[in-house]
Amino acid sequence: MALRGDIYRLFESVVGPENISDDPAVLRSYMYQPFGAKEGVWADISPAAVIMPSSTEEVVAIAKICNRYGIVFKAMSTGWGMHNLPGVEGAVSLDLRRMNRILEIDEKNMYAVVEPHVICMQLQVEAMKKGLNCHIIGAGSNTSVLASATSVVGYGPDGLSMGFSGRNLLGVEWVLPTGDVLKLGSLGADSGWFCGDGPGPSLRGIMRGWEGAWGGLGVFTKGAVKLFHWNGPTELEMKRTPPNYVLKEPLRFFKVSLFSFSTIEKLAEAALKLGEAEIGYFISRLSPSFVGLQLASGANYVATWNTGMLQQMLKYAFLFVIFANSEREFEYQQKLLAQILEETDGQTSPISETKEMQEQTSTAVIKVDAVVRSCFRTTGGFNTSFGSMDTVDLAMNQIKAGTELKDKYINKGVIMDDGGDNSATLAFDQGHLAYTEMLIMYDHHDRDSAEGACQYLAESNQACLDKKLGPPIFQISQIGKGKHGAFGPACFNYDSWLRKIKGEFDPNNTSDPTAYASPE
Amino acid sequence: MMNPVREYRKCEIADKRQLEDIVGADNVIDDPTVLEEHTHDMSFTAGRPPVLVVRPKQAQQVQEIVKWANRTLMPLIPVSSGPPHFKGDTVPALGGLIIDLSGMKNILRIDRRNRVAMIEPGVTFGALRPEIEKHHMRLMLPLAPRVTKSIVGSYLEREPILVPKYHWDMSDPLCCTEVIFGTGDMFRTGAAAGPGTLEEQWESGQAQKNPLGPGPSDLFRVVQGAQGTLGIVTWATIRLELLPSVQKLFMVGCERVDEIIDFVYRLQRLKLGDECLILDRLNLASILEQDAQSMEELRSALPPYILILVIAGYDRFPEERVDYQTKDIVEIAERYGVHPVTALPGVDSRKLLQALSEPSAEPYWKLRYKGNSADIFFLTTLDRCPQFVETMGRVAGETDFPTTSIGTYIQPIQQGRSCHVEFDLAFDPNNVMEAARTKRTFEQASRVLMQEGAFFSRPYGMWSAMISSQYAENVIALRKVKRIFDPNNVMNPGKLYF
Repeated sequence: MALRGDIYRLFESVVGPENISDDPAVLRSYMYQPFGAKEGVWADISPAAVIMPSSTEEVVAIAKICNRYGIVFKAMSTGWGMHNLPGVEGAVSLDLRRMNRILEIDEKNMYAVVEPHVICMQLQVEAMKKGLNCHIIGAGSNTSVLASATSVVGYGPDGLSMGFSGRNLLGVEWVLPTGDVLKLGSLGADSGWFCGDGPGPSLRGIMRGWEGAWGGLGVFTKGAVKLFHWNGPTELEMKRTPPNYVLKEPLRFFKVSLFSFSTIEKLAEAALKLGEAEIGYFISRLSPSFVGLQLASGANYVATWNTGMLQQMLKYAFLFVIFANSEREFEYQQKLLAQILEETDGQTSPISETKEMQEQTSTAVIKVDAVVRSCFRTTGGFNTSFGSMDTVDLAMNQIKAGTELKDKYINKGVIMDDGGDNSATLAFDQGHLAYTEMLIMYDHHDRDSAEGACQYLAESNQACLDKKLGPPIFQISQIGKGKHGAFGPACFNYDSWLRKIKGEFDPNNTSDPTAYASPE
Repeated sequence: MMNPVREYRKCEIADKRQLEDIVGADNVIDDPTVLEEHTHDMSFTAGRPPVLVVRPKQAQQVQEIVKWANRTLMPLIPVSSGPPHFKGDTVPALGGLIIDLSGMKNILRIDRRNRVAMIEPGVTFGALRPEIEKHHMRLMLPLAPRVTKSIVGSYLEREPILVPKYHWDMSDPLCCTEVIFGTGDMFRTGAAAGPGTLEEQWESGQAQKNPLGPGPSDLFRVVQGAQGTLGIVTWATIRLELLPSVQKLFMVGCERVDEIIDFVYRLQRLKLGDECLILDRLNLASILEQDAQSMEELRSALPPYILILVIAGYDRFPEERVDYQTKDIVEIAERYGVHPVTALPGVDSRKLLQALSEPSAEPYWKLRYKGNSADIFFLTTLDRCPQFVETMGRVAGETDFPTTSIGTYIQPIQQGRSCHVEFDLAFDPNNVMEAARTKRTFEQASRVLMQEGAFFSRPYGMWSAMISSQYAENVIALRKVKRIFDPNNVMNPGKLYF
């Protein structure tokens, strides 16, 4: 559905003609979003136009025009999933790529103020110059820092020491669906960016929650995110060429190891003990398949997988990284680690001790830059399931349920045989929180495979309900009742509160409700 | 003030009977002495007497009371801690009904494996601490809370805890809650929302630790900091930490706060140490000594400001943990030109460690010096603390308030990214002139500090009016939130911006 010419010109007057387009070829390019659960990689609905604002003022002006003329808008930053596109016909897409500045790095108070298209890698490079580092989500270092803090989930394997994105947000500037601007916390009181809560009740409470509003409640135009101490060099020197580049020199007081356990219960015990011992920089459950994907090219992966070696050696394994601030701390952490491994019969995998693995994994751990290529490489498409956050034990039960369910689809031949258990399990806040998501690889150019993936996702979501495993990470249009329709009634009807919030803060339903909720 | 709740000055007999049907006759109190006790607190807040006090014992009773209030438009003022109260938030602005939650004091669950406890709002720090310690865990405490202080109340107020490394987010250590909104709807926040009953969730390995959600909502955050204006929490889960088996106390004395700020920044950045706070000599003396004379004696022996740092070892190699951290901290201290010591003249280290790990002995430490204290507290960053300390002193000079009666407390929070700053103005409540001067100083200092950028994140009493004029867009947004969760404004009307 095309935009009316006069409305198009209004938007054009805000951003300039070079920053708006309704050219079908341009719009078509936005419809290519590789992460989804459908046949093909193309979204069904095209935006009516794409607009690229460069400032808060321009976002405000666009939102006000949308409200005046009944146009739905949907903002996106770096996203690579179908959920970044409008879910209704005639909507405009706000591509925030021009808002890509790091506005401030406060070294003493350990935060950075960023615009929505600042990517994790960009921030990490600048933060390291000041001896700081940032949490990077599992989707990789090419993703928006602000999007995961304000709008979409926020899991990342360094969460053990650097938390969860949704809990790492400080002051934030928020353009409401109506075009009004809120500045949350200390920012609104002109006191600085250091706090996102108050005065009084915290508006963060309606802003994002666990999973984020997915662009359904306005646009976040600036935000302060927490940074953490970095004990490495101010600039990382690399050798070899991308994507196979690795750290030129090993980091001091840094040790990465892959540990395997005889049972999933022992793995869980080890994770719990490491958490409460308050050691470690990074922990990530790695499935045999995922280790193989990290290590090998596509063809080599298949050959390696078929030997059965990975499955045998790494059935229950996790990657654990110590990164200490002093030699004494390094020794202390290693001593604790050894004790915990002894108690849980944990074995150091010889794979992780090779020079190649040390180099490769150390780099991947710091830069979180190898996940995505691993996910897409073998079959072209992937998706994920389960993913609710609470405890290590919940994570283990998510693994068991997911593995059981996946076997059926693997046996049908519609998703990749990755052994069933292709889970990423992470811990946050020194073990206080944990979660698992279960990955599936499928061929989205193959109808049977794509349909199989969709069926698996629907069935896994149902398993979350039936087995009380928490709401899944991606509910969007995967369970047949629309967003929140299945889990709202099972979770104290939270969807009805979302509709009330939407009614108060977006009475014209202008900010695309597809992935959030519509007013009552 | 938001409508449509009405002012209540007296209780109809029918009202009382209906409430008796809900909570039982013994739990509906109209004794004038009890009502009078709720008409004021230790703050300067003026109030009106409540018409009744009700004491529910179960969440279902709380829910029925809230629904009843929506029918009758009776204001409800939830109170979970015992007296004395200091902030005016539990003083009725319009009369109404005090919901005294102190009888809901069940410890519902202690989960060592997942380091979490589930408690009702009447559970105090004093009551829970020994139970937790049986499981070799500890609670995160604010600075020597009064013995009657509700844990849920403290965490809902976002009171700062003493160990900054455990304060990852502003909402910590609060996890999930069960809340009765002002509409009368029951809700569970975070992972507790479901799917499944609590028992089913425990069966699937959950422990109600994730505070976020359900979905794209964090409704516990709107209840937190709301001073009872949006709902009533009927239980909460809270994070616990391992109980130290070894502790070592360090102190750094200094003439001015700015001498130790950079050192504190470094410690927090490296997550070194456990308890970390700065007190001035009045507050340290108030915490350690029982009477004014002993306090004066100790104070005269102390430096003006004291950084208190505790290093702890837990279950595994505790001595070695303390040893490596001690050595690292000493090295850092040398670089910053500060001198941590394990003893200061007059300070009993064991007594201080004890004071940091349990509720205040009676009388409550803020009452020991002069009988009352008017506390000004706000958030800022550590580097700005010296400026605010100077401002407080300047305003005290202008109002002739004796600087020797000002206690100072600086608490790093959010792992050092910001801090709670508190000026405790000690005064004799029985001296009319002194009380008036304190009130004048409190008001003037609050205004000046806010103008200079102090963030009053917990705006009690007069602060909410100051915030309203400065923070208009957010107040409008918060009133929308109020309309959603308490459309009839029955929850503690007249507080905050409602």
